[in-house]
Amino acid sequence: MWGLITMAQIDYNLRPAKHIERVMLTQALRRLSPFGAVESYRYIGFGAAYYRDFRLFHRDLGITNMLSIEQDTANKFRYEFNIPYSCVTIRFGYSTEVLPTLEWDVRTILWLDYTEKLDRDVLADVSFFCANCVPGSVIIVTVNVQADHLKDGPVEQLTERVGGENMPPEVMDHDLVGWGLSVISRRILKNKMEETLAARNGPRTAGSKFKFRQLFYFEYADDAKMLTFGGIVMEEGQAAIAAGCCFEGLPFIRFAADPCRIKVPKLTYKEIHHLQTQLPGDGGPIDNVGIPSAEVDKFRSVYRYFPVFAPTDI
Amino acid sequence: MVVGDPTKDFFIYMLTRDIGLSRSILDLIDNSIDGAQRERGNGGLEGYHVTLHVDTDRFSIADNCGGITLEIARKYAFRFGRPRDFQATKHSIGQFGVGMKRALFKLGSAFRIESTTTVSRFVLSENVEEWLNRPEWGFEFDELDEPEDGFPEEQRGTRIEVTQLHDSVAEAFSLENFRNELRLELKEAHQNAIENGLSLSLNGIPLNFDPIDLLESDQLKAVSKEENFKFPDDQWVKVRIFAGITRSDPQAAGWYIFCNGRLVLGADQSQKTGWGAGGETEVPKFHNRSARFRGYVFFDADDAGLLPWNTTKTGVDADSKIYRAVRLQMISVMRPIIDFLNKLGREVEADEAEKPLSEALESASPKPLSQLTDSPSFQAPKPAVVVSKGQKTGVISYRKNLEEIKTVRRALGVWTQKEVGERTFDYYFKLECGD
Repeated sequence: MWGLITMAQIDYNLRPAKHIERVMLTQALRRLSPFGAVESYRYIGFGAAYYRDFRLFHRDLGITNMLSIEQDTANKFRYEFNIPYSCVTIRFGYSTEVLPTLEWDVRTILWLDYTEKLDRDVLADVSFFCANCVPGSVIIVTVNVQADHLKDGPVEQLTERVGGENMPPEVMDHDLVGWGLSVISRRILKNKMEETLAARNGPRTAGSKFKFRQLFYFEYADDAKMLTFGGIVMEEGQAAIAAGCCFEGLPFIRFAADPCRIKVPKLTYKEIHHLQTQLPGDGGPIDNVGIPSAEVDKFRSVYRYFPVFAPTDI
Repeated sequence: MVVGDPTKDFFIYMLTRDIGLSRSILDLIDNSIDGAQRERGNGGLEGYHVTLHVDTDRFSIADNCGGITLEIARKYAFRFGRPRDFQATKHSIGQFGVGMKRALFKLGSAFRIESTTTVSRFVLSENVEEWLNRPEWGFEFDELDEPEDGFPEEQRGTRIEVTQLHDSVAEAFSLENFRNELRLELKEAHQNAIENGLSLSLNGIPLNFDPIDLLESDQLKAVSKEENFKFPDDQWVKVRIFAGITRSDPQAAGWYIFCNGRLVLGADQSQKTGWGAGGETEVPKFHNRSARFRGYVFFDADDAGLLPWNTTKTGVDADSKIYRAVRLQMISVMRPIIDFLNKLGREVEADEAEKPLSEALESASPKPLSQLTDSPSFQAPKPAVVVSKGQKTGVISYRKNLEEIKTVRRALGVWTQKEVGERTFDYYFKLECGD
């Protein structure tokens, strides 16, 4: 085991919901081509030591301009050692520090894949991106949305993290139980994007004003509850281009406030193979050999993105 | 019928109360510069001069900037505010049609204006007390001359003299310190015009131009970028942003905002220019560690109405659309500079063997803004990082009062709670457990 928190965490590879999300994101990003060849995009992410997202986006999307931001400077050699492809570079430092030192004249996919809860630092990154990205760029933000304990005062906790000016005033403690923190976190993120884009748009003429179009609103819980929110920043005049992406053809795309909850079925390999042979089918009932129908429904919605794990020594 | 007309007293009161004495004098120079621009078009201002004189009895300003035409004098120059049909000078700085009147009323009770153009000459003098007692708002020419063969170049220009100075004004003018301050303000506000060749003097002493520069080297690149914003009717606002580091001076550090070459906000260290943005996560509040920071924003437009300045030209209109968009840019470009200065401070304090940041600073040389290489962001070398090689580490986590954490974070000049923990641990270790 490696000594640091990020290193000590379980490999995301073993986190099925996270894996499913990553595959879904890849499928969606492939459709960006009307804005520009996907391989011409730059990808910025937090590769940690595993670089799962980098592997996927390089292999499946052909992206070669890749930058990983890594805040753990104490294990520099390890992160450098683990770089999977020569086209991946690392910048050490906090994202809030690194992002403003980059050039922003290229269409970028930025995945701020935090493990922490939403706070001012996340909002600062989001605001920076919206203030500087070129149209056609994509921002994806993942934050922890596990509810705070009621006795700790969830509203107070959240207000402390994001700042009073970013906190919707009518939110009560009981709004933040269950998946409530996800709902409010999404709203705060969206508000920040809209606020920044409004300021940026002020002097721009109609048609060239920027707007944010939501594409991603995932919720899942491999252990802690997580939210992934994101979409594309484009010019108003690019509506036809966006339509050409046919995002709506993907069942997990979300344009509004209804989340795509990724639920992972608990199945044996034998059951998986059995169910898979009957899918996609016509949507009607299938032979479930005694598997609870709730699990079958879960599998039906994720089978195309479902990971196959096997313990190995590779 | 109900009376709704404004009174003259109200007008004078409103006009003069919100502007400082020296600022009102700057407005008069704006008019001279506009006159010169009108004559010269886009060229430089060589050959034009503005001469100011202040003493306890008298204020005067004289220029050779083309003079005020009779039409302008009759229809616009002495009216309060600009009528809609006014054809403004392109790229002008006298924008609101109040500057001259406001300055005259601010300074004293009697004024005399003499102005000569290629074809006309007029003299207009007025005692403000007498004017207040008259029902009509107009002024009368004392002399008016339109000779067939016009006037030669050396006679053209405007001379304004104010006498019967208000007590407070006479008192200020008698103070050497006030005159020194006025000199600095004139120099600062009109540095762009002076740089373009205008000769400006106060009580016989010429005001020089101090070039604005930022440090640059192969390793160190200041921000230098330009963006053009399009407005209706094919109007454009050109925005140039420069930011970087130079000599340490906490008083002079901050942002400088220019509108059509006129400085409207100087050495600003407030929220208005992005300091403390995002509850200090995007940019911290100004701190003396940032004493080397300088940022300059130049807004230029043919239609001065599009510029984000307030009517007294003493600040920016923070709600203007263009300023809000540009402020976002300012926030984006300043963060890496502040980070660099914080790391530089740490490097100096830590007294490490390798000092890449200090070296970069020493090897850089000042360059005038116009000669800076284009760079959308600040570029600087990275600090020497001490990398642990195979040392075993452990994690400590604990909860503390957030306000106290914040206080310590500010005292340490760091960004995150992680750093607060590490630095306070290091501090204890060094003092109590070190060699």
